[in-house]
Amino acid sequence: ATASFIESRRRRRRNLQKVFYDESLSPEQALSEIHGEPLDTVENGSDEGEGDDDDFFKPRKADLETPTRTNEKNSFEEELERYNKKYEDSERLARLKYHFITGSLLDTQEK
Amino acid sequence: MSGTQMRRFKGCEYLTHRLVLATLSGTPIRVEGIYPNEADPGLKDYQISFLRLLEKLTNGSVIEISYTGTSFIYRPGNIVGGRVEHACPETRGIGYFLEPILLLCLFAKTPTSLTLTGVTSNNEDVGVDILRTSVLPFLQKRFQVGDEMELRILKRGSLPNGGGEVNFLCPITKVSLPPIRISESGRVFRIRGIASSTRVAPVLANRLVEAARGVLNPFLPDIFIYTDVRRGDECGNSPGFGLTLVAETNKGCSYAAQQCGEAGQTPEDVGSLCAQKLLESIESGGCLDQYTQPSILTGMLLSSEDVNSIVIGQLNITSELVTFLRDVKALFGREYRFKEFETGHIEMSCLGKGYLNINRRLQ
Repeated sequence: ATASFIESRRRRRRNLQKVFYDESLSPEQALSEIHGEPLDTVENGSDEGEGDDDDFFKPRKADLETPTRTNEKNSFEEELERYNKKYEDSERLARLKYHFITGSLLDTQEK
Repeated sequence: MSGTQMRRFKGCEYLTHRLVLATLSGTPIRVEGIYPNEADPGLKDYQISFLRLLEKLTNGSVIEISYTGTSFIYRPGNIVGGRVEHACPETRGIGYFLEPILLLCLFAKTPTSLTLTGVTSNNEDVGVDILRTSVLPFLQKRFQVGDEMELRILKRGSLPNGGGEVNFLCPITKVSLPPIRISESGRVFRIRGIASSTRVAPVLANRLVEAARGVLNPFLPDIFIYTDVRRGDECGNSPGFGLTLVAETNKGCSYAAQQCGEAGQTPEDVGSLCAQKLLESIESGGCLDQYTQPSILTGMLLSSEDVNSIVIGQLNITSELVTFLRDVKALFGREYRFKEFETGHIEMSCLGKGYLNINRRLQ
């Protein structure tokens, strides 16, 4: 039952059509829903299967307090550090090579 | 047109595209709640400047701004185009003014020659280099508007004093835009870029190039980054430097990234950050990047009455996109449809409006 509930919650979360056009959600709240930001901190207890779909998409206090990507204003140093950390991961860089034609060809030649 | 019911909006997020959509649909709009709680409430200087620009590009538009500036009414007129000159405030880049009206000018009465002065590149708005090397070629190719659509960078202007100048030439379209269906982004086969500098030593541009190549060379050998060093009358009043990178795929898509240097930042940091932003955009995938997305989505809406579809990456889903889609629904009554793939990419599709250029002169 828990698995089916999680699945249904995921499905509802992914109901993009509704989230994009639901005027009761601000664009930032809609973005949080789409990107799957934290949903567990609902103000009134747990979020287990209560309410219908409309309730599910209503703005909650937790969403209002969640900073969204577009509102983040990082300084240059913070941004540089974040990107440097992100792209020092060798596995990530290896996966990224898939997106380049020559990279994939070189991999094939090496094999 | 005067009989169309007025639409009300609250807040001024993504205001430029909302105004352009209102102009294209001929719908009067009332926007309320514009920064009402700030110390300096009401419309900002760049927003007023954009309204003035729309007024110059159209005939018969009426703009009524409230006493406090926190609300205004815009009744769009006919798009006339022609030769227009406009001075943009230094608070925003030229891209803020130019990017929303790229497609608007296609539906004008006469071909447009728009000269804009101000800041050509900053970190907040799309730079003119991205518009010239990524957005315009994509529009030309997908909407078949021809090579007459052109952007010339006459002067480069950096923050804080600007002084740059660009000239945008746009033909008119006599038929509906063709529908587009792009489902595969392909793989990157080459990267091009422009390292530009104004009123600083030319070596800074070379250092930008070296830093960017250091990040990108392990992925691809076909990288060419031009340097554009401007001095004297060729540039504005402030020193500055910046880098623009465009990655092209074998399926005709492109990803772009830009970064401008500010006081205290080294060209090495700026160059590597720009290259890493490009990698992030490529990694995110989809057939569009954040700079091309608004124009393409508008074009899909206006295209001939057929199904349009395009795949976008997770990185492109922003609050601006949500606002844009809601504005499209309010002003055109059209909704996009979404289909999510396991990769996290989203296919957006819509039925074109079959929008025709009703402003053009009959011959």
